[in-house]
Amino acid sequence: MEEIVRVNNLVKRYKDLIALDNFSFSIKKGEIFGLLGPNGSGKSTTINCILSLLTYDKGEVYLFGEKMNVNRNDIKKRIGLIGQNVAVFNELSVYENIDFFCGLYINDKATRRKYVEDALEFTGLNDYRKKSPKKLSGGLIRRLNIACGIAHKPELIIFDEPTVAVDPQSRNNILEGIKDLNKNGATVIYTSHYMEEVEEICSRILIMDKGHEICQGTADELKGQIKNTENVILNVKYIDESDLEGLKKIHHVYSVKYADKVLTIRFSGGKHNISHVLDYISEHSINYERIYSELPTLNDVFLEITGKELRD
Amino acid sequence: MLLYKAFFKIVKKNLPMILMYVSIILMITLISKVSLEKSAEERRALKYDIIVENKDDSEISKELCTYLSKIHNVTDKKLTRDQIKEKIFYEEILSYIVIPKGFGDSFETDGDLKPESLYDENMPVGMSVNMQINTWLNSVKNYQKLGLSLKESVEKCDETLNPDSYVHLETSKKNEKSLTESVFNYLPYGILSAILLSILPVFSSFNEEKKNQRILAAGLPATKRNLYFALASISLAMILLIVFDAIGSIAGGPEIMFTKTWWFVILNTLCYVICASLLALMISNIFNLNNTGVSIVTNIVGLGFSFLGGTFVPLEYLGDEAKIIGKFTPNYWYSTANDYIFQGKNMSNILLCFGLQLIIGVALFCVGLTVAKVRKKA
Ligand SMILES: Nc1ncnc2c1ncn2[C@@H]1O[C@H](COP(=O)(O)OP(=O)(O)OP(=O)(O)O)[C@@H](O)[C@H]1O
Ligand SMILES: [Mg+2]
Repeated sequence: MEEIVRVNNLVKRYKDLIALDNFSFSIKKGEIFGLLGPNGSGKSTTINCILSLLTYDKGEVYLFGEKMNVNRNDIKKRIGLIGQNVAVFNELSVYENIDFFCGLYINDKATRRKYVEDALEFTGLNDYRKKSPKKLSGGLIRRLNIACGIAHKPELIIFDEPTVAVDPQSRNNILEGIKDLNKNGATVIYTSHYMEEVEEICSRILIMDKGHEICQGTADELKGQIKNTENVILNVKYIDESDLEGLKKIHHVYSVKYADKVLTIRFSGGKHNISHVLDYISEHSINYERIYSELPTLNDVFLEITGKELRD
Repeated sequence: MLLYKAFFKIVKKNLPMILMYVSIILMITLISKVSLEKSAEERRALKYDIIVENKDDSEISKELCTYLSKIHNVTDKKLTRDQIKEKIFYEEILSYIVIPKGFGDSFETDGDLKPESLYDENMPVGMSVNMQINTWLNSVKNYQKLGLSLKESVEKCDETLNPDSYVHLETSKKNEKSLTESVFNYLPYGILSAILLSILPVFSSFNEEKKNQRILAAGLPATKRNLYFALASISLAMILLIVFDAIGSIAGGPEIMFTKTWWFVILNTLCYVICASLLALMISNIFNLNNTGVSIVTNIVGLGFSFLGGTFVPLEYLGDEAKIIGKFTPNYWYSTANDYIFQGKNMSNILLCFGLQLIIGVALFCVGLTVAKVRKKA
């Protein structure tokens, strides 16, 4: 498969802070590549370096097999960027905004008109075409932001946290849209600190922290790498220290944590783990409100490797 | 074309504010025109049609006749009582004045014999001519008492008395010419404000970091962008120039159009527009303004330059310190050039003022570029 993006040993410093620390990865054609990391881990910095919007101290970037630099406007034309912040003209209408940003890539007027219509259709903004962005709701303005970035039908689309501060319905809308774009042939880079989203749409995920890679692979591969296989979670008002020790002795349990009235019991392997927990609880008459079992998430992957939660 | 169009679409959003400044200039023009016409009318009203019949042939009676003919429209027809009454009744004349025989002698001695004045009792203004005569005679007498000859006394009266009639006549002439002059003197306020209000929002919108990044990501070369914006700014400046020059020219009337003075005045506004545009570019290079910022800067710069540069207050009324600061504004040199043009000063003086406006503009622009460059490095 053709390699669309290749990043080699990227180093980016902001004065004393090392934002990217010998960061490398590559993306193949047709992938939805997820860049997952907590706030400040260097996701946006990576994107900006890939597009030569930022200068970097070391390393190389190859796009579509060619070396990227600030003057490669021809390469830039094949990419669509949907930035972390909404960047549209409040002075222009929805239609005019899409037309303007599309016009930066597409000169031919007839083609452009068609592309703008496609983008309006795709993002469901047809009914709002004459409106000013100032009058759009938060979810709609995000969609406009996306429409402006994809109207020119780029081969590589980069989304930098497009769902921050978006209601669940619009979020699903956006995620479905990204899947559709990918089906139509676009390669996608998707950055986020929401693991559920990344897990839902990405074909391959790279988890990063402090400017370097933690691990990468498909969601299943990543989860397969860790010892955690199941978590049993209980809402408990009160529990004795001795019971925490007791729970730890259940077969396959490797960690028991009680915080904010939530008891988390982590298992590595084993079957019917939840019934063993229930047995212990009824034996020791511990009162609980809710009990459920959960398969490991990307958060557990992050936790196990870095020792901290993905979300603060 | 894309950028050119986007530029004007954003300008269009601010059109109401820009039009406000156009209408301010229109208002100033109208007010100047109305007040000039009103004072001209008042002056005309001061001049009445009267008839003077001089039966005396002394020096003083002749001087009195001369004086009256200076301040009123005097005829010296001799009429019968009935004819006089008729003329006064139909308001063809305000009053009929008879200087009786022996008036000259009486004036030099007891002063009992006075010019007789006939007027309509129902029109109190008729009295005013009477009063003017008395005042004049008293003044002449007083000057004579100081030892001046009759001729000298009369001259003194010409100087001191009735200043309104003389001064008015002179200033009225000057003012009529200077409706154009004063309107063109006000134009910089409108031009500068309108240019700032139209150019600044466009640049701050495009320079906004996130949008700028998006445009950079699209691979639009900076040179292309600057070129289109320069073209758009020039077109915009020319449109505003035409609008404001049209206001000034219409106020001046058809007589002034395409005269040498007019061409100079137009050139002066052109220099000013160039300087104002360069100033706008400097500001947008240095500051990233939001809408409120734009209107604050427009007000401060527009008003500040106008006060310091003699747009609102004539240069000769400015204090020395203000003048020194004022010299760094293009408005100062615009106003000076405007004065020179209407005073008919020689060409080199005028051209110097044009040049200074352009130099100030280029200097401001360079400051903006330097600041932007220094900041980009940091
Ligand atoms: N212009 C800058 N100057 C100095 N430090 C910066 C600058 N931009 C980013 N940083 C720092 O670089 C690090 C990486 O920032 P970056 O924006 O890439 O993170 P991110 O993963 O995109 O985070 P988020 O999820 O909050 O968007 C952070 O510690 C940030 O504080
Ligand atoms: Mg970011």
